[in-house]
Amino acid sequence: MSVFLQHPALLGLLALAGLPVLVHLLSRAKPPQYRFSNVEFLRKVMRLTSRFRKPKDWLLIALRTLALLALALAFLGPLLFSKNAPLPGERRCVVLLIDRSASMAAKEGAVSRFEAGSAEAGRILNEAKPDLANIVWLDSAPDAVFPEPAPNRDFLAEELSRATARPEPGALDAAMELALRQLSGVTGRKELHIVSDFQESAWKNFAPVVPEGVELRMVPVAKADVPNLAVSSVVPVPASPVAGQQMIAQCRVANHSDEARRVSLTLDAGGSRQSQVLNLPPRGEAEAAFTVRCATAGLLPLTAEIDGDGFPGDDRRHAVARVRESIRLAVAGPPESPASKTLERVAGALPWLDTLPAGDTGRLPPCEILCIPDFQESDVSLILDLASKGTAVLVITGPHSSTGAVAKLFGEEPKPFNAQGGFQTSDAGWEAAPVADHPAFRLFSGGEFGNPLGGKFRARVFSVAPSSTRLVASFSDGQPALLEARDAPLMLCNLSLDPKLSTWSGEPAFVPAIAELLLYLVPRRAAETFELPPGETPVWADPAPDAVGSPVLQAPDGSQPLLVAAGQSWRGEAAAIPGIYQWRVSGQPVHLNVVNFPESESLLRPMASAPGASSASLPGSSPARRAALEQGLPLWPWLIAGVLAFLLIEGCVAGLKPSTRTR
Amino acid sequence: MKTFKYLKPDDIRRLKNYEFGAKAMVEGYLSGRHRSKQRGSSIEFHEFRQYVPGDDLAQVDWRVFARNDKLFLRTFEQETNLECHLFLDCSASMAFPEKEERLSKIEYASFFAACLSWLVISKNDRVSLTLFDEDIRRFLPPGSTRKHLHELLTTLEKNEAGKGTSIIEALKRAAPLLKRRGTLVLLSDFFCDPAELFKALNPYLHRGFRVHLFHLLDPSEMDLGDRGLARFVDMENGERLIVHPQSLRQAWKDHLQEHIRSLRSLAASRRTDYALVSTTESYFTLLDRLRHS
Repeated sequence: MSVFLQHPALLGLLALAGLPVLVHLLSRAKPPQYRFSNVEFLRKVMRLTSRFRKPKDWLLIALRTLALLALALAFLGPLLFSKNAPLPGERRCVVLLIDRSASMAAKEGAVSRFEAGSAEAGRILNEAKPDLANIVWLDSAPDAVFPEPAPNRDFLAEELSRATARPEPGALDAAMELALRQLSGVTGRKELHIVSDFQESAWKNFAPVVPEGVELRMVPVAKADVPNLAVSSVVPVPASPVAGQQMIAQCRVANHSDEARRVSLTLDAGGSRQSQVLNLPPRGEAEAAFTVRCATAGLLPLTAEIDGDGFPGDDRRHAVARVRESIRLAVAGPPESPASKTLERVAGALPWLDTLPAGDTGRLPPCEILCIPDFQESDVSLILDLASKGTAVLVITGPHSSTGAVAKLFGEEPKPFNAQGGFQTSDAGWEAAPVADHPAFRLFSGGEFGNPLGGKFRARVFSVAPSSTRLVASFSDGQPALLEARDAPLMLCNLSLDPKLSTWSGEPAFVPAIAELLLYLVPRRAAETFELPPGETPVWADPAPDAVGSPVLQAPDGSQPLLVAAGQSWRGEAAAIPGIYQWRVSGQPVHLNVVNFPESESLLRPMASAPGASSASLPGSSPARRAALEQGLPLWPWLIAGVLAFLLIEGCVAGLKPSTRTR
Repeated sequence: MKTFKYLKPDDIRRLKNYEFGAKAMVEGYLSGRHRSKQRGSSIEFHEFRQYVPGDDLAQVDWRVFARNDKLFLRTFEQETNLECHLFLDCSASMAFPEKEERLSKIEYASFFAACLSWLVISKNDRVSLTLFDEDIRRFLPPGSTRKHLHELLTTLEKNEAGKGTSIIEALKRAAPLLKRRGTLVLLSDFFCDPAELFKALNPYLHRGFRVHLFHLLDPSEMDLGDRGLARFVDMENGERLIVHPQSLRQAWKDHLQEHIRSLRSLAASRRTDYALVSTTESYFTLLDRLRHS
């Protein structure tokens, strides 16, 4: 706290405080003289009563002095300022960092947190009346109203009245940096007011480093936690199903309240709607799986929705699955090789599988799965490169394969040759079986379809499973039959497809086993990304730029944002509304973008206290009192009251009789 | 006829109506009024006493000797004159109040002393006067003549308040001056230690004096008066003290009452008469008290 005197010229009035002492001294110096018979006797009485009288005299003088001091101070016009309040005449710059992330849309009572924050920000501007001011919006892409702090507070007030919360997370560090940059270029008093709900999930790690000279004030606007239900995720499995394949849409609903809830969850998959009722535990989640049949190839929009609650922004979530017409399987080997022929037969049995002859590995056609029969050590670098780019690679051992090639394929140094290494054949053959509960052979886990790897295998490559692989199937003697890389869509098949070297291709479970294996490999390829973070710009790269017609972007609310062409790609405005954005060419949808409500914003619980907040900005402190201290609280009424109180006490003390009991 | 300041004609007229009984005041012999316990030569037979060597043979009752062959003395009561010893405190404090219409304590005491002296002498008894402050300032030995009265009244007229008070010292020094026991009337404001006072009176009491202590106080001494802050100057030693009497009044009164109670209690225990007198009362009140005590 600091005190400012409005009339310092009247400081001389403080000398009045000495008046009672002066009067006391003068009155003591010149009392009327009175001759008395025995003063010694009188002094004796005084000594007996002095214990009471002397303190009273001093108390009276002190009270009178205080009364006059308070009166003189009242004339000086003192104003009480808070410790950090600007002194009168000091240039003041205020930057308001206003949170307009999604959580600020939560309503507490009749108004949303953002409305309360805007009102608070407006009040700060009105009461502080800074010389320079600016507003920095805290959202996914923080920006400021003015390029630098400006004196036009009215415009800022208009901006406040127009602004709304956005369904975006807040880029806290970027906003803070921008706000401090705004203050760095000004002189005088610098204040940074952060107006936010201080959502616990977003602010718990906030530890601002504020340069010296900048006063940071927290203005919390959230009063309490707001119970909220949110659709937290929608995941299609597989992400890119094949037409005709059944897809599972896994939906998760979170309950951010202290009470158990029962909610109806609806999934809209390309116009087909399904519902499930979910029981949500307090502060917990529930998951629902919807089976969606992907009838036709194309983009399949998925929208999971729950009944509306007090915070509707996160009651809906979207996803897009690309339904493939077929899976392209390129076989990098001679077409007349037994393995190629076997795979062609498989493709003929599976309508969703197209085999593409690739010849040698130097000219590979676009495909989802690359199969390399009888792989050699020279193919390893190409295989790893393709796998790293997301192409699923199925490598089949053959007579030219070696233990060293296998080790090198999975990133291990080849071990010295030993007697058991290399390509092995056996007339008796070996049997193989998948590892229990492996997802690639989940269809066969019940046993009704038999062993997917049935038959006898008379050739294989002796190898030890490298540490970077996961065993999918093994021979009866423990040798690895199927190995998959842990970090790449790469699978080694040590099971020969040559009918001369194994009876597997003649087994009834062979085609389903290969089909399951290929489908297992396909999802491991990086799924096509349709989802955009809130606030991001939708971009679509036209695969056929010469086609007639320009694309149109249709936002979820039906509006069509302006597009900017950048080469072969088109760029729209920042996606402000969650939902599905459709790119259309000649009225036909060609691409979809999904913008979802940020999951982190669904938890509406505010922090117990604002981070790094001073005592003046704690939620419990009265804004009116803070404002008064900012403006300067006039103390004269208190001083006048003090004068009256001192005089009253003085009267009471003066009226007290000394103790009547003397010994 | 010469008039005296402290003996007004009106007072004399009033005093003529006073008939003091001998027993009421002192032992005396005058006209048979004052019977003395002292054995002496008079016509009033007291008792027979066996002769012891050294006795006056003239007092031997020879008729008893003739009958019993034993020597007995015939003793008679001694008839005495009344002796009244007036002790008047003339210290500076007795001049209180100054410049007031009412009597100061010393004036009051002088009026009373004059009246009592006239009364005693008018009955042919003897009166002495001792004026003292720190010491004995003036001593008039007992006398019963009109001339003595005139001298006494003149002394009182010329008397003025002196310096400090030392009743104890004065009583010590006066004891040898009083040859015969009698009535001792002490007029003072008694601003002294009561225990010390009665210690000084002890010799008198042992000698059989009847002691009357008249405690003279002005009304404003009893309650400090109704004034504001004032500087009190001691009349005896000039000591100064600034006091707000209103704030001290009750304590003063309480303390004074305690002092008076102490004096009264000691007086009662020593069979001594004590009376507190305000100077606004008539001094005849004291005479009445003497008559009835």
